Amino acid sequence: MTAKPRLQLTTSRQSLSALIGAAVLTFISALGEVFLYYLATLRSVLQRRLDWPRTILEMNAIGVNSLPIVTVISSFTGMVISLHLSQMFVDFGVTSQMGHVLALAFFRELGPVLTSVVVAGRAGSAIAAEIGAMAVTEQIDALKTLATDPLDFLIAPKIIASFCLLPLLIIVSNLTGLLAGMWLAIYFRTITVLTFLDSILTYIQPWDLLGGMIKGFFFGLIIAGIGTYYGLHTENGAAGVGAAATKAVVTSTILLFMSNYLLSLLLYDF
Amino acid sequence: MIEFKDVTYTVSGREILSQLNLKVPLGKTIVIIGPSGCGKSTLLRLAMGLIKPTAGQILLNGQPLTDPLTGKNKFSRGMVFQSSALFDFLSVYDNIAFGLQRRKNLTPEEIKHRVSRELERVGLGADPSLLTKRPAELSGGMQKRVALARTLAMEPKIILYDEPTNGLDPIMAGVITELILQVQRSLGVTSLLVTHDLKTALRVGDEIGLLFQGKIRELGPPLAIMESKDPLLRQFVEGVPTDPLRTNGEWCL
Repeated sequence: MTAKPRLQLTTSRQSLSALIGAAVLTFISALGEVFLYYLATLRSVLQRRLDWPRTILEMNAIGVNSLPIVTVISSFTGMVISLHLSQMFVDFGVTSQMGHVLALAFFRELGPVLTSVVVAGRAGSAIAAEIGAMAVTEQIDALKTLATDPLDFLIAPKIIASFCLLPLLIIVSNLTGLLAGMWLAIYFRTITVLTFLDSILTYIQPWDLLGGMIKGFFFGLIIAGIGTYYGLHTENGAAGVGAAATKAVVTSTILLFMSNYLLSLLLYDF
Repeated sequence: MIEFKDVTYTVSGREILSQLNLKVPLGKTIVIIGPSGCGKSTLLRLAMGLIKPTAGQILLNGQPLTDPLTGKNKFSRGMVFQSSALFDFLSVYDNIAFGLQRRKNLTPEEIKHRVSRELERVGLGADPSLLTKRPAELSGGMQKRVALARTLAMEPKIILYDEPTNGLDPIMAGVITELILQVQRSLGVTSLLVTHDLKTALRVGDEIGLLFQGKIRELGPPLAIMESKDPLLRQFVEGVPTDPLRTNGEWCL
């Protein structure tokens, strides 16, 4: 009578370890596959097989079409941060630090993270859905039958576009966030333009801006790589396409935040 | 000629094809019939080189099958997919011209000529406005014909058809069947066609075989197949929904 619960406990422990083991193996195998996409993209560029017209189209879809939402989100974030901080800075008499703090927050963290989360939601899901829909309707196989490597034609353009455009979007996010924050600080808290700009020019180093852009390159790779992975692994028709898009956004958002911590540590703490 | 030699294909421990042997002679059309989920499409994907066999060998004119992307004879095979698989982001013209534009030796004029020639061949040459339409604007039958035109434009020596009449009304299915027959007669291509549409199988097949439990059964001329005493074939031909084709409550495997 007493042996039965122990056996059940052992079995559930075993199945839990098996589940964890399987999840770790799946994660490592997925990571390996995503790295292979990056290598294939590099090979495609070096061997001049990249489809440039499609890459330009992808740059438009991933980068240019994300501009409005990146601008709006960064402006309002800049304003809300300025709203809270500027009053505190006025109260403590340190308005000379306002521009510096806001710029530092945007250049190092807010610009890269906000932009990449927005692009992951907008373009990452679109990449997974487009490739997923092509996979379930045999269009990817059709490319191969027409002697066209899907890596050169479909995947490399998306990875290149995401890799190149994320840092540029981050610059736009930094500028709009900073301008909107400055406008609020000047208009509502009587901090002067000169004080604000002087604070930025005095304390901000080029590396603060460059570090954020370097993060952008990595984030661009993560968004396109994860979107492609879930797209190529789509099964079960239309429902599978929706599921692939959701998984791509969730996974890439988690990875963006995790890698942001590691990159901040590497770029600014060493 | 395509030859399958003891080909086995396994997915997640499940044997889809089991030591399968099949020869598709030069200029002939072999039709493989069988219930859904039997591995018919897998057979075509193997012949196209989209997947590799777990064991055994596939030979193309006596030589091992090469990769469809990099192989020496990459333009020698063409495939018409069950879902047509037209690129939905391209127009009809660009779909047909897609493979041609990737060939380095063709001028834009030659590509244009081939596109019109193939559209003419599949009976869609009369309407020039069709060229700028997207696949989503076409009917199922038109999509199949454009897909066939896209394959024919590459001038393959071997054409693989995956359920070419699937999802079409009987009249359009008849049109597609006649087109396949006309392509065979005029171009003399070698064809491997899989279908569960007996009408199409009997009309276009030089030989017909039943795929069951990963192997080809009873490969023979259409008349012999219709008169076969094999209980599996009889059941398939007569469409009886009980044993022996059903095994352990599941179709096929």
